[in-house]
Amino acid sequence: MLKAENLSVYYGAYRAVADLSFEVGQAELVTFIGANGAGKSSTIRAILGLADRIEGEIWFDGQNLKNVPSHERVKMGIRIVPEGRKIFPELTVLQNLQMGAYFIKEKARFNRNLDWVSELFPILIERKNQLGHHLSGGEQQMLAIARALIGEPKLLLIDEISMGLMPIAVDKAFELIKQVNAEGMTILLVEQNAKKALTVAKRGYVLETGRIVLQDTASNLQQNPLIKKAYLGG
Amino acid sequence: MLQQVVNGIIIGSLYALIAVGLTMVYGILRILHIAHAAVFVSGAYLGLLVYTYTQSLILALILAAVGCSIFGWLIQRFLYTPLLTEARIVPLIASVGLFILCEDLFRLLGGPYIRAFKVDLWFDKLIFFDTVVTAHQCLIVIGTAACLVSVYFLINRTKLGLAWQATAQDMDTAKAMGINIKQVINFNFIIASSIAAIAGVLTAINYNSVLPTMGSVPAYKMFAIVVLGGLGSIPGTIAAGLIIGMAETIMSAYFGFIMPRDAIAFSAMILILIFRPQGLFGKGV
Ligand SMILES: Nc1ncnc2c1ncn2[C@@H]1O[C@H](COP(=O)(O)OP(=O)(O)OP(=O)(O)O)[C@@H](O)[C@H]1O
Ligand SMILES: [Mg+2]
Repeated sequence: MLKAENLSVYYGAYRAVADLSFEVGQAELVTFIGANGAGKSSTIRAILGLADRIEGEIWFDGQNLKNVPSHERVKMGIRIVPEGRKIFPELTVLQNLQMGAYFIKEKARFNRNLDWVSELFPILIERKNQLGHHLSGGEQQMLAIARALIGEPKLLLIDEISMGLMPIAVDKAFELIKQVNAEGMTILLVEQNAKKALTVAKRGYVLETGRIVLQDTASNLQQNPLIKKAYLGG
Repeated sequence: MLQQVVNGIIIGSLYALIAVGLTMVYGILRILHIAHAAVFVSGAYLGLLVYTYTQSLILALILAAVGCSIFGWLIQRFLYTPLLTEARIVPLIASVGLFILCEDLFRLLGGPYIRAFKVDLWFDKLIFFDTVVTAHQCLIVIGTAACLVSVYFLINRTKLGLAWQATAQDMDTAKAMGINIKQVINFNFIIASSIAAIAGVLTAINYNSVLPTMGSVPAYKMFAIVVLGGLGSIPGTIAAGLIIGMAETIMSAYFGFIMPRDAIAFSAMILILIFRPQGLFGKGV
């Protein structure tokens, strides 16, 4: 479903990501793990066409994404939960959700999706007329997830879902990822919390300073002594 | 006194119309669109041209708005967009340069003298006790209100308006949500330039004159108004336009000996920059 070949991402002359090749299959849940600055967010942003300059190829649904602008990629079904939530601060919760479903024209379909995310996150509907910046950090993270889900992603890119959530909410978020993946949604999950990520993912890639140094099934990565030491805390 | 309030509202609403466009452009591109004043003047000339040939005010307003939308779009496409990645001072200088160039073009094309813009309306004036409201003033109030209500509707009640708001708040995330930023920028320049055109025609009618330099006072005054209103805030800009228009009229009528009329907006701007840099209504930048 998603495939990258020799992907490099540049900031000016600085190459943040070098020669990445990876693949995410239909209905697969794949994770990228790596330390701060490894290039995880840069890669995610490149998939959505938000990077300044890239080299290499990205394919989605059999189509080469070269020269496809971001808004067309979103139209094709790629959605993102961005790093740092990025809620529109002066829009209401409901308007933020409308932004997530910008390409859904039919009112009935939007309402159906809205009912679904309100079941997942009842708090958001209680606050639907509040401005984004009046929500707490954790509530904003829930809104960021809901805003991505309401747009019916075919491929969901998640840049750190656990950020700012209390432990029980982290568990719930991972539970949710697992559930929507089981229902057929393809997910690429970037996580600091490698332990959690490897429990839900099928496969994982390990990034170090912009390069993939290891790729394996999640269960093998969990057993790998090097990974244990570097990312799983012992 | 009431007479001065009426005059103040008239001047203030014209200021608001011009400044709203400036604040909208700043909101999306973070560029101080000084050449907006040139769009305003071209609106007055276009309106006069159409009115002279057709004697139809409606047609003059519509065609001026269409012409200025194209002009504004061209500025965006060929001046600002190529300079967006430069330091912010670069598009600002380009904008000032274009404005000066346009003043000379207006002089060449329209002549260096004042042209009258006399419009006959179907009544002359309304008199409430001892307050006179001329038909032209009624026209300005109605025209301004119609423009501002339309802008409010477009921004707050349409899908593209929602995308506009999101883009103004966080362009990168708006892109990630699938917003076509080019479309939002076009929408932005069409609205901003149309209302500048209408402001140009109405201002010309108000003073019964069109001249090449009629943009220079608005050029710097709209700047003071958007600072007062909080850069990027549309309601703040409208309120600030009315406040400045009112303050100018009333102060020059009663305290005209203290400072010249055009200095008032700037005194207000300087005070605001010192004590409340986010503007009277802004939320901080
Ligand atoms: N806008 C930018 N301009 C210049 N360099 C950048 C920019 N964004 C990221 N970088 C650099 O690119 C490299 C990769 O950054 P990236 O944000 O992709 O890492 P990450 O793996 O997501 O890290 P984290 O876990 O901290 O989120 C880093 O060295 C970073 O300094
Ligand atoms: Mg990151």
